[in-house]
Amino acid sequence: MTVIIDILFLTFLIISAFLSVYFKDLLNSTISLSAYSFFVAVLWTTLNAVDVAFTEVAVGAGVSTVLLLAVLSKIDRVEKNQITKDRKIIALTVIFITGYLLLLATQDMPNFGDPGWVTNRYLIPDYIERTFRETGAPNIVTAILGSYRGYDTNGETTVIFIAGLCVYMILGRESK
Amino acid sequence: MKRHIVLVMATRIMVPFILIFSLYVLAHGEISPGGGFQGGVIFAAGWILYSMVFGKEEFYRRISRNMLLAFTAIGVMIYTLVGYVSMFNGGTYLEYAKLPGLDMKTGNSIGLLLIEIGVFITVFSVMLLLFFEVGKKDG
Repeated sequence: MTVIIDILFLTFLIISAFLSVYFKDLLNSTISLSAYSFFVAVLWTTLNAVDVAFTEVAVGAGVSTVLLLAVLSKIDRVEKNQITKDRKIIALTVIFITGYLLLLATQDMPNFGDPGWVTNRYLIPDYIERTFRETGAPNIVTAILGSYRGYDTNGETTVIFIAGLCVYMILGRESK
Repeated sequence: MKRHIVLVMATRIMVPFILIFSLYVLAHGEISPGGGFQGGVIFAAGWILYSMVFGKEEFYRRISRNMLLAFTAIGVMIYTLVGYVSMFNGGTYLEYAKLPGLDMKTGNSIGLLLIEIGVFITVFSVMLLLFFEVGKKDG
């Protein structure tokens, strides 16, 4: 059953990714990207990565779509075709080389849920055992983000703050 | 934009629930999926929906632009203050167990909630700021 869902949603994923590149109207591309995020989120859920799925839906399908729409309200909606034929050949070569390298990389990856894989042998059992005792938080992801990796999250928040500040300084200067 | 009655009524009904849900996601980040970042994004999405229907001015009447700018910094400040308070109380930076008046268990719980609130405030104000500044008509 899970295999059917996986295949179904991976097919939708590829279709929406292809359509987002294929459409000449950028509004259609934005909507396709939103659908893409949604399908990725469903796949995260089947992998039991609910926190990631939640973030993907909220950020990828929700807010980033709205931000892209806000950009679209300022620029031309239709993509102009300025790509020459020799550029297309170069792009195709790069895509095939990158795809080949990615396929090579997947051969070293563990099978899904492989109990003998190195992170499943000591790291994940260690966190599962320690987290509730040490932090009292049942959600291990939040405990790792806020407690064990608290410095990282502090840095991330600062990055978001600086990003917002930069956008404000560049775009919001003149108007008062 | 011309205000459709369906759009206005649907927004009026939906926005409070979106905002409450975002606070739920924030408060339950320790127990269920979610946390400050997701909650902040949902909170921003609720206000974005509101200001898309009723206009940006209607939103700025509630939280002014300078207020929004200040919020981006206040979130980071809350997060960093938690770290410094625990440091001056004899622990290391962000050692929640050393927050004043709290022991190991409650300190971790309250500390996690405080930093999630910091992340929440920064994320929601930055998302709103991005939306308003990028989608501005005149600039």
